[in-house]
Amino acid sequence: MAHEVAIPKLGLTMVDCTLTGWSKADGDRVEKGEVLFEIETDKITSEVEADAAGYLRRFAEVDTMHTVGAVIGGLYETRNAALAATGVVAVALEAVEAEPVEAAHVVVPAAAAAGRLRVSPLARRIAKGAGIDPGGLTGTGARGAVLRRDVDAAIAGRAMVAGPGPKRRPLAGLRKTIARNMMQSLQMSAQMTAFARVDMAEVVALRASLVANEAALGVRVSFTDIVLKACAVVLARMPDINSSIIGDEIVTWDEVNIGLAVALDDGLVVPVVRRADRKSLVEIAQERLDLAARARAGRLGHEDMVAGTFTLSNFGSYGGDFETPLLNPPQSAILGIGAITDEVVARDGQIVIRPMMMLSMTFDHRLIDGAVAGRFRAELRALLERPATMLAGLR
Amino acid sequence: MTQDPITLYQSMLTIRECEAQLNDLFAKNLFPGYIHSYLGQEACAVGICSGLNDTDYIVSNHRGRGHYLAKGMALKPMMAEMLGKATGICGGRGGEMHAADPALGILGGNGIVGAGMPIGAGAALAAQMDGLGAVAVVFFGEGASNNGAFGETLNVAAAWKLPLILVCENNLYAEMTPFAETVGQPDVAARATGYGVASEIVDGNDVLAVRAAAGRAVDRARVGAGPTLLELKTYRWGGHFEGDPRKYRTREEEAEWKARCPVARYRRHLVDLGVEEDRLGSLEAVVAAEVAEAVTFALDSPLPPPESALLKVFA
Amino acid sequence: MPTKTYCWAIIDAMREEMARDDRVFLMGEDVAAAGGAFGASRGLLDAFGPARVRDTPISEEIIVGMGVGAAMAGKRPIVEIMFIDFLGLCLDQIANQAAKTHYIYDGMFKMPLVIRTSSAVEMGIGPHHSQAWEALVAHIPGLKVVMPSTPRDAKGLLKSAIRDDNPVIFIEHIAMHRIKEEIEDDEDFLIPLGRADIKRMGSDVTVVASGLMVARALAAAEQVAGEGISVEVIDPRTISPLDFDTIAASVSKTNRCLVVSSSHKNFGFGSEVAAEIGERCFFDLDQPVRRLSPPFTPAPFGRQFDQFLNPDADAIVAAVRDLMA
Repeated sequence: MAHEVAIPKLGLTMVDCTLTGWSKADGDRVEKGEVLFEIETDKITSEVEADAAGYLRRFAEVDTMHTVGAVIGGLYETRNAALAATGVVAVALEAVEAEPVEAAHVVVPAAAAAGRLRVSPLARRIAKGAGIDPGGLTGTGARGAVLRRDVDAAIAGRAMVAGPGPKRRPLAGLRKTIARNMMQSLQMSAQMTAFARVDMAEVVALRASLVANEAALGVRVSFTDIVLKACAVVLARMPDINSSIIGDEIVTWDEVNIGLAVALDDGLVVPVVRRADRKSLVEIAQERLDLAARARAGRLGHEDMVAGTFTLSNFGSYGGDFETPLLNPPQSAILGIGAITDEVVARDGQIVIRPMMMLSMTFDHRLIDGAVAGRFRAELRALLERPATMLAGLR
Repeated sequence: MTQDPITLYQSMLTIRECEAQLNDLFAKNLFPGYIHSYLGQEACAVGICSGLNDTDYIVSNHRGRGHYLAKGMALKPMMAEMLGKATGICGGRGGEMHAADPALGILGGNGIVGAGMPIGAGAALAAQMDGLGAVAVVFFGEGASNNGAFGETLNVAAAWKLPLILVCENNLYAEMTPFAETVGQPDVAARATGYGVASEIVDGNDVLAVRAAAGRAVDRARVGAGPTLLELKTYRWGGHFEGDPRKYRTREEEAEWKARCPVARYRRHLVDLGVEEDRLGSLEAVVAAEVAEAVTFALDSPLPPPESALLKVFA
Repeated sequence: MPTKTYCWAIIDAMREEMARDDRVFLMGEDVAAAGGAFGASRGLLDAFGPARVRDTPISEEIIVGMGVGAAMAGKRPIVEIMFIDFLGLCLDQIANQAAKTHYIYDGMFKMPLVIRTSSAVEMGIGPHHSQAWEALVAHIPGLKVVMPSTPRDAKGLLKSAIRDDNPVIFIEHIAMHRIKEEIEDDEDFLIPLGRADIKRMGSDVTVVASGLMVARALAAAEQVAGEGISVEVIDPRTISPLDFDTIAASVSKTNRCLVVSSSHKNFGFGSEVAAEIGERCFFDLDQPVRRLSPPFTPAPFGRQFDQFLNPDADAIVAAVRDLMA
């Protein structure tokens, strides 16, 4: 009996991945612990080592998608057995709609594990006659199956428009992961967004001072770093916010790990600054720069992306004032910060111009009541308006 | 149907010769299946059928060649059928356990022990409805008397006074088990009374005794007096099938029964009546030659084409 | 045209055929004096006398076996086995004798035997009186299996069965005995065996339904018509030999097929239809062939179980919508 080579689960919420490469060829001898194949999930690339020795037979092609647990190859006792093996050829997941899954308890549906491009025999026949590749169509049948109506629509569309039709590409890879996560976020939690206006004058001054000493510090500290640190300090004080609902339990995390949304050309990733409450501003700044650089290079590791307990998103960097951020499940809170802009405000009965910033905070209302959210907002605002008090508390 | 004494002998001889030559074919590996030998029981078939007309029905069982021949089935098509040949009376698709001839009232054999009894009752019912005096005979072994169909048949035949003669050839062995070990009452005929069916126990190796008993049963049936169960006590010289090692009985017992050979017995009777040895000897030679010719005919005949298996599923 | 119940359609068919051909006779448990356990031979004893309408002992093997023997001897018997559940008692005579006699003896004997039997599926009378065994007998070569779903079909098919030279298992549904329908008043009104009937024309989904399920499929078709789904309902009427040509032509038109039957799903009627469609119509299919059948369990005593176990019109509607999704 052959040893199955299967897609491992590399993270709590991993559902599927793209097989990006094989390190061995059919019939090659593989020793336990040798790198066998490479997969990509959520823009993380992982090398997977063989968990047994044997002669390899590959059942899956490179650049195909697979669910966790899908068998993509086998390890056999002899080379001949491997070459003669006729395992069920693992097939791509392109058209498979993942079932809605609970973020913390990912279960891979059995049907999806054996998923493939689904085209009804009739649709296939008609498409062939019309010279259409059914694989390029969007299926509207059960589990994305391409049915006759889809082929008919494609033929009708081709007839109506004399040029190329709308451009279509499969929903796959990172975009598919994001789509799934965003839908899950909205479907599985009760999201409440609150706003607060913060006077950033003292933070602006603090940052100016830190930038002036960039050479000495060895890093250029950003507003984001300061806000991230402030959030970490408040979260350490308020474990109710640094908590998650997972299944039937409320889990209060023992670390404050803050995810930082990083925009990419084709999506968004959220690498995590671990234990941010115990790191200095300089350490946070260094780590942020490293994570962002690696994210843009597509070289984040799985460990860089997991275990976040809170997320910070700086949409101010592209000009936003306030938004309603979506939670990153299973986290219970996310903070979006807008641009710092000079605004006219009343202060001690006087009209003054102050550098103001909007905090947009979304909480999971299942876990966090309005009063608790209000306290978090107030404490965060206090720290940002008087950053010296934050620094005073640092060890 | 009246038959002269020589014809009875010729009929028994033909059966004897067929069984002997088929056993020989089997030993030479020229026979394509089971042979259920009728050796030793020749007086039963001949004694019963010699009193029947062509318009009377018989229903046979898996050990049926004696019945077929005694009722008049032509030798060559019968033999070819046994070998599954295209020239067989059923085109070779019935084989060793199934032959029939509607024109002679031979309604087939059977591969299922006991299944022929209800069919015989049905033929008797048809005969009764036609009202032309025809009767039906069903042959079965003592083993089949332990099948539920036996009771169902006796009961309805008695209730409806069917012109049915139930002929039980009690050859002492139900397949490969001594019959006595499977019953509390070894006389099958004794069961008839409980169903309201007339019965007789007859020496099945005495063709004249069988013929006389059959005559009485047929007379009863023809006048509407109902069914009769005839239990013919006899012996199966061979095993249940050829090649059966017969571990369930002794060679001494077999020798004892072979000494009571029904064919030799009737031959002695003919000699006692004054029939010349020469006449009997030449008859024996003629019968042996006829059977040998039938065997050659069967062996030389073609098999039915395999695709003919698809034909005649429906009428 | 006169209106007749399903039960009287069966009686009329037998009366007409017995009058037409004196080789035809009827025997079975309670068929004569009692007029049939379910009243389906009322009046026949008076019309034809005790020689041709016979009460038998409760001896199923000999009921069928005598039918076989009488048919070999030139009669055209109709025998009745009260419930289809009792076929086990006479299966040898059905499967080894009636079904094979013409075949074994190279066509020397015809077997014009009709075995009438009743299905009490969904009548709530327990596990020995409620089975749908049409698939069981349809598995045997040499038998024809007929299962009418309307009075008119019952009459036309039974008359054809009696005139047929092959053994026919004729399954009557007790639950349908009181259904009424107009039937041609013609002694030669026949419906050929082996021909399916399109009970309703449609273009979107083919529903192949047999026996009790036909009326349900029609009700479901009516319901979804309001949603713009056009259902074609096909009643095969003869289970074996099955008229696949009609079914295949329909599926090639609609591209979708649902099979609804009282027969168990496992190795059942639906399986046979689905497999044949798969082979014949694969490239015409826009959806997998669906089957609706009772689950693989006996039916306990009580109608609540029957209702739970058997597909109803709602289940058919849901399955049809599913095929259109």
